Amino acid sequence: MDPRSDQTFTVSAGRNHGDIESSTKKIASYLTKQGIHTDLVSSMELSVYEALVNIYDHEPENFRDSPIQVECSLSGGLVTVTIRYEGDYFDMTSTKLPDIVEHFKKGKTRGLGIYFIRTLMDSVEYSHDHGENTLILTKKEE
Amino acid sequence: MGVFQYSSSKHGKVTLINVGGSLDSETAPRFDEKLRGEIGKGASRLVCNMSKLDYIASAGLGVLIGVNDTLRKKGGEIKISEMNEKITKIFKLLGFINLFKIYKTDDEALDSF
Repeated sequence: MDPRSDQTFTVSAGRNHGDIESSTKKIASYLTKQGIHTDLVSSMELSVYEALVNIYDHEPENFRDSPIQVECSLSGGLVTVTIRYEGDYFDMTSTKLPDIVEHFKKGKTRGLGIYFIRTLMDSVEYSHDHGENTLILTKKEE
Repeated sequence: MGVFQYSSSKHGKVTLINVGGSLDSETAPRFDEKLRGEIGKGASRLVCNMSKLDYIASAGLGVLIGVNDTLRKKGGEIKISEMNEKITKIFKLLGFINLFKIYKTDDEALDSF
């Protein structure tokens, strides 16, 4: 059994650039202290950042004061980050990913953040229940 | 994240850009503004040195993709030099390593135009 399996680390991020940046750094710092490989830390850091920016950029004004909860846990060789936030339904896992070379060579950049997350993570799950969104990012330790 | 450094110098018909710090959603608009400024002054051949770049998010990559598209329409291009190990890994993981021409040194990149 993973000795770290009962450990979780939670941060609360306000919907602004400063909080998004500091929360992402705290998650990366926690994973580094837990001995997670730097490549996985980089992938998770970037994915969490992109997810938070996506929420910040696309959620309506009336949710601006509602913080985003980011919880990180380690279990069975899996690193899991669960992001909970109030907001409208948006399932990034159902968006079709483009052929990146063709898409981005044409100068199109829409969907780039979602592409980052889904490419860097092993699994991305989304659920929506009465205005409460949950996004779960998972990556297996090598 | 958050810190952004930028400088540029002319080498014949090529403009060498040194970008450092972080290219995230907060700094990427400034990077875009700087690069568009170079284009506005007539530059169409750019080399972007990434040796001091610590972090690149989708917003930063989006700027490079958008600027490259603009330059190609003018017969130019943006090429990358001295990409450090951390950024190289991210580019490889994301499958972006073939989106741009990448050179080990500034001289190689400058001479390639």
